[in-house]
Amino acid sequence: MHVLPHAEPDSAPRNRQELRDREDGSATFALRLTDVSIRYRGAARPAVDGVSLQIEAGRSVGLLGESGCGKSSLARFATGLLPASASTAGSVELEGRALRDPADWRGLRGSRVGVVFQQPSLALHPMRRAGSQVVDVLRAHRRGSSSWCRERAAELFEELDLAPELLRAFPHQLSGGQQQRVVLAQALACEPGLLVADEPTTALDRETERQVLQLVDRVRRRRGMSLFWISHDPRVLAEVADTLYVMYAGRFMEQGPVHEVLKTPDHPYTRALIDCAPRRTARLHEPLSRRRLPELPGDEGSVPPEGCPFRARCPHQAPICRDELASRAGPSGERTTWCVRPEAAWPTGVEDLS
Amino acid sequence: MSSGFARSGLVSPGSSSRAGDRVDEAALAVRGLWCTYGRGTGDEKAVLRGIDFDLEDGEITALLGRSGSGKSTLALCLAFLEVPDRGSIRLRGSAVDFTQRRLLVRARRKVQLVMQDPARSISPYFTVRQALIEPMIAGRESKKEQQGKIRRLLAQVGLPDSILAMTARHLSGGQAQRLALARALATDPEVLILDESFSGLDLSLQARWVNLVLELVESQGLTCLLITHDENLARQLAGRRVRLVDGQIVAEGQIVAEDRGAP
Repeated sequence: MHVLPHAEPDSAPRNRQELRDREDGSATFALRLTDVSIRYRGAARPAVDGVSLQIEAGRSVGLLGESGCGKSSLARFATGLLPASASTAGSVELEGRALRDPADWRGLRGSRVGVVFQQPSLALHPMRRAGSQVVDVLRAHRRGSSSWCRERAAELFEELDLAPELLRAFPHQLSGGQQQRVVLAQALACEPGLLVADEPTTALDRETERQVLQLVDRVRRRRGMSLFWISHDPRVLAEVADTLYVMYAGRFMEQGPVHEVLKTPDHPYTRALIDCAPRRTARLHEPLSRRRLPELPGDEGSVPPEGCPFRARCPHQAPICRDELASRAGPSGERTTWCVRPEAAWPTGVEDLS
Repeated sequence: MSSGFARSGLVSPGSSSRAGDRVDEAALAVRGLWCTYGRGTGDEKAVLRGIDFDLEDGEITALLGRSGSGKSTLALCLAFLEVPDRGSIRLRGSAVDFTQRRLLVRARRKVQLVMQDPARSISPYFTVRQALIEPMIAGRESKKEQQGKIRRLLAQVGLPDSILAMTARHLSGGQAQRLALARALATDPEVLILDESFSGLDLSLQARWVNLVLELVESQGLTCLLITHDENLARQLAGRRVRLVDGQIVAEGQIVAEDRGAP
């Protein structure tokens, strides 16, 4: 059999991450955010207050937080989409390149970084066919011939389980799940190294949501793409993320492998948040009063100016919490908790959320 | 034990309610309901195809189903806002005739629907006071009684009196949701239908909202239909579950069997 001299199937790099690892001799970062602070004009306190986060190439990072905690601001900072009125500090590095002003993002966003937001109906042009909207992205960044762009769009539709006839459909003819998959096709069209997704499945029903999550996970693994997924729902992040960051009032509270953090939360905030979630156990014919859910204590508006931002609502707060927010490494070294009190005070072990 | 349970006398764990048994006791009883969209356009779609089900008095029933399964159409029919092709809906045992406007209006006051996006169901230019008075216009209360009722409604949903003069568009998401609930309660309904009103909420907000609904159902003796696609939420909140698949109801017994079969 004729073998090409350079063909070495076993040692060929399997994906982009491996390729880069070989070139550099070390793991590279898809995204590095260092000491990021964001403040909107007229706001009483910063939306994001000195956080650092990094995503290794090929890894998936989830950011869990409730509305107003600053998670979307952080995602917008990472993609250069913050409004000009926001004042920022800190640095963002994309695949090793430091990006400073909005012009640096041109040509990268849409090609090296894919971005998906919550409302697919707002991201799509209502009067243009789904296929041509994917072609647009390819034209803008790849400058291929129109027949190449059309073929590529068809391939993307196939990759995202969209029927070929939907290429010619208008957005209003698609279901919410299909619309979001078209938006994903746009975001993935130029094979970005990183996909930033801000609550893209929140508007979908649970079953459709699960399908989209599995799809994204499959695409990510096949392409060796990195993922930065933002959500308020721990169940979603349990499905797509490797590492989880928990955010409250602009600060990180806890960080670690997603299943460990969700199963044995170290921080009182994470713990309280997970306790709020409805459980799998059915309450058939139980009295109404026994179906209540534990609530997060206190008022979400009461954020002390210094020290731990959660302390006003924390059941375990102590005088020491008024000092600077300190981080503490977990026993395994993989986890970090921004809480000065040890977790011994509260029980661990959370019922299955899935 | 809740007043609702005591009143309906239906506390029989393990027995799944069977259509046809207790028509008179159910707050709402639906029989053979069909609803078709696009009639006469050549593009007909039967969304509901022979629905039989009862809404037990004083209980929270969850209606599960994927998007497009007909959940919201059923909600509209139950709130007498959509006219079905065939079938009957009985409100506390008496059939509601969709051709008699006066009866229909009375029935609508008894069944209130809270939609998915509460903020959008209130005119952004209304003040909170206006938004609450609007549903009372067709009622019999005097001006003075209305003012008293407004304060009572706000207290029930946990909103301060100070927001009465605020315009609806300036309310936060959580406040708008509470206002929508207060508005639904303004007509003294017996049945409350919550159509995906918990979807997409933060967990802490959702927990508060769940507890508020439980409190109201218990204290007011309301009957509640919770429409959701979140199985866990249905399990947490509802004493009964039914599922809508292709316009037909899958009864609770089957869902319980599925639960037991699940790991």
